[in-house]
Amino acid sequence: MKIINCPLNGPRNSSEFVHGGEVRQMPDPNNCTDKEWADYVFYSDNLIGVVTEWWLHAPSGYWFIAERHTGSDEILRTYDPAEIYTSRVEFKAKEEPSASEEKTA
Amino acid sequence: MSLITPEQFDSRSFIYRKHQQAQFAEVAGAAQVVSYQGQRFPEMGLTDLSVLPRFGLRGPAAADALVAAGLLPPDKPNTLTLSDEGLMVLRLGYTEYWVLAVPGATVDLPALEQQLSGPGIYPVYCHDSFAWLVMSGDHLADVMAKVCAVDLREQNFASGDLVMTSLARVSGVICRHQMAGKNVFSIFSDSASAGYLWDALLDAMDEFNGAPAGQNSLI
Repeated sequence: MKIINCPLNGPRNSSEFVHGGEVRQMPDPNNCTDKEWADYVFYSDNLIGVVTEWWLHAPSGYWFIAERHTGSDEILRTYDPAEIYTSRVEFKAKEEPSASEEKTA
Repeated sequence: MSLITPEQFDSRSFIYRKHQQAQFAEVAGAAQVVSYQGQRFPEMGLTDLSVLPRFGLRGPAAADALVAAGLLPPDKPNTLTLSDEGLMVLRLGYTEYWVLAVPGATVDLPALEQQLSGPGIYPVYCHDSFAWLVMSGDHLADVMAKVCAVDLREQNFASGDLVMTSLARVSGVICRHQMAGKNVFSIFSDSASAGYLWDALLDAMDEFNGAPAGQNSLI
């Protein structure tokens, strides 16, 4: 069995982990085009080489980031997402014009 | 003869049907097995404490709130503290805490739960969604070696440590601590697979004369 080194729980069998896809920069959801958003949500680069990916340690519900070579399947490094994501991401809905404003316009 | 049965209560352990020939007592609005008929304490016991009250909290303000409430939150992730009154605090990961009372503890958990709320604290439900099984006896690590890949021998897994891993192929939290002066493993696992895990652990314990045990063996 392959061993993956979880930054929180230490080395564990790979069967305890779930792959979560590539780590990508999120476009601004309020200002990006639909194509940019769809590209972010649905498509992946699928490179051969060292990629940065999300992984989940399922028994603890802990998400972390791994650098993995997709050719050799070797995991080079794993680390806590706090190394990259230093602040909480808040989502705000676009402000809809209120009914009274629409009448006067 | 036991007059209290699990069916009298709306709140039941998920595996109450497994407890045949058991004597129950009312604990926290549910039926807790206190002993099994005609049985002395087994060499290795497995006790179902699922009905005992517990709650969880997580978030950036959780640790400070626990300190403010006079509790002893563990310093390091994946460890636990156990107070003299029998109040146990598990730290799962960085910002999640579970608060439990061991059998016989005189702690008002619902009042504590009310106190531990506010901005930056999110409730975690760990009562009805998790089974709490306690394994006691001298061969804890030997039994667990049959179902779990993590080294749980005392030199690598001391009292006060916990691991989140898979055991018998289901996810669970395993804690080593003391209960009534005995070395025990507390195991928390999804309630949906609790019946399977109960049987799997008893099967693994069989080699060491394991058997179901009531709460009385832990007080």
